[in-house]
Amino acid sequence: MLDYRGAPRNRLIRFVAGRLVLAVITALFVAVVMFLAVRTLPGDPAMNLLGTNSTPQQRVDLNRAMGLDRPLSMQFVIWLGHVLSGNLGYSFSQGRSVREVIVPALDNTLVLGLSASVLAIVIGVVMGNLATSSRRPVRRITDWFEAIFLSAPQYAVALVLMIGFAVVLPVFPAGGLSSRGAVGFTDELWHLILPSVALALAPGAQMARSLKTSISSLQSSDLLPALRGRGLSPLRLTVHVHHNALPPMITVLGIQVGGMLGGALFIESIFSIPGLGNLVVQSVNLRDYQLVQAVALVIALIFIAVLLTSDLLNVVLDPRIRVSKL
Amino acid sequence: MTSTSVPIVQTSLVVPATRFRRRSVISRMPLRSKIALGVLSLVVASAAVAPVLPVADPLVGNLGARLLSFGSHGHLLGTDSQGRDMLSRLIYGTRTSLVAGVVPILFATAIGLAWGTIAGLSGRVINTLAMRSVDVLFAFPGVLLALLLAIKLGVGMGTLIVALSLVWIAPVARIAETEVARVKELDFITAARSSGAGFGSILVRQVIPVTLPAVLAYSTSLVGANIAITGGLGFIGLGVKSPTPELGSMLQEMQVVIYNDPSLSLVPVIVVLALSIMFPLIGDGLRDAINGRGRAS
Repeated sequence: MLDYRGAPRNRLIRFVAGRLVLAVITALFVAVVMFLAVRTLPGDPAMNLLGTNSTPQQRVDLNRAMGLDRPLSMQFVIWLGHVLSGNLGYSFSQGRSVREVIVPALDNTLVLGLSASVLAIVIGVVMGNLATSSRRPVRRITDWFEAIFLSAPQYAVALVLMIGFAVVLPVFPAGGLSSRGAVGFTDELWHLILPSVALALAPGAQMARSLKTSISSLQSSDLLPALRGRGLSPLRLTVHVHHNALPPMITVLGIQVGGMLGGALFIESIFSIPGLGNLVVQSVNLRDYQLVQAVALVIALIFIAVLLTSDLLNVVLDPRIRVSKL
Repeated sequence: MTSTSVPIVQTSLVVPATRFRRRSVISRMPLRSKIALGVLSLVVASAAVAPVLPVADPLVGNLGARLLSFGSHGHLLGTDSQGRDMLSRLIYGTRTSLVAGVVPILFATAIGLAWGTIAGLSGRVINTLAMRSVDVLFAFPGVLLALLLAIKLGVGMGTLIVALSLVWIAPVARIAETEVARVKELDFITAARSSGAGFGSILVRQVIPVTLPAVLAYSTSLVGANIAITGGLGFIGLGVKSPTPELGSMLQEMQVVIYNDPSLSLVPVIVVLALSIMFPLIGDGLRDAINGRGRAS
């Protein structure tokens, strides 16, 4: 078992348990909202399924068969049971169960999200370090980079990249995840570059800002001269600085994953990547709201899991959080 | 010797009033925020007077003049895939985006400020309840929440404004709560309370004036993010009803014909980028000016 200095083990367990309970409550609330959103959509589900030629008796029978005549709270419990056992409903626009539609899309979104996250970390670390450079022109450039990409919508960046590097200079493919006939890792990576860059610039800029703040507050503290005085090499100093800057960066990345999941909606549809975001956009256009709600639920749950992970990771990484917040 | 030292002390205490006169907030903002404010003023002005500008009708297209490029006769920025004047559609589209960008933030700021202030000043139970419900709203990516609400409420400007207002209440409430929690521990609140001021008086006279500038600066930044989401919803067909010009739907229309004339497709993208970047630049500038960081430069 892990045992941390400065915090008795049972306090750590209590902290982790508290966060877990909070995550579960949030997830439950999200589920309630999603459930109510589906159930209160205009239109009679039986009418949609049977068509306008059905008799009122047929519709009443079908509603009873689907359990729609029961009280809303009862319906929620039944629905939650279905969701927990992996049954998310049926998508009429795709003609398959929602689960069958979502799983492959989730795969593609995770691949895109992962490559974008890696890229965002690289951008964040590089730009954050450049932002504290002693050269003024370098700082000016990184300042502008931050100011622009913190708030530039990801879909607009994606369109600029697409026009620049897929249409005017056809260096990268303009869409999809693989070329026709081609298989393999490098081909997929090649397709992932533009959408990943479009997704990663905003979180990268946010992390760069966080790293810059940490580094400059360290530079004005006594820690660095003390470490230097003890004869630590510049490399070891850099390691110490980045260890200190890591927890806030992880928090930022966790929050930004939400932005990426939202941004993926547009990025995937711009670059025709068959992921969750593209699925949402398609189902919106086909008015398949059952599928929209299911995908939204999955996205919200991923986000909750990511936030929980970043909280827990911070406790492991930062001894100060262990002492103050436990 | 002693007789001369006394007047010196006295004069040093009498400081000319002009030395403490604060420069206006705008003059204390950093340069790039001033530039953004200038550009934005021009954009807002042109969008406001759009009906009297000598531009073509944004809704009437000429199918014989589709996808004309820059500088074509009578169409400075070319035409779109239905032969409608691009410049005119951009101006009217900016008008739509500005309304959908600013109005929801005004509503959200009013509600979020009230929410956060009440939470910040309340006891532990109400505070926890109020802020935990805000946390739950954060579990939805903003775009997704806006999308669900837009589906729920139907397409149109009115419902778009309602949906977007709901999205931004939580972030404003969180900032307001943080600010109020910070301010209420300060000495002047204790001073006001000990001099007999009531809850309402402290709220209106002490807490709100100190927290409001920071919240307003934050809200200004949010307008940019809100315009970005509005454009995104328009992009996937959940914005205002067509054929009303709207920047997001223009992006989508121009992406379809991206290979015909890439530079033409780039124009609405640049406008969306500019709009969503300028508001945060101004908001950050306001925040710096309030915090006094911009004072030195």
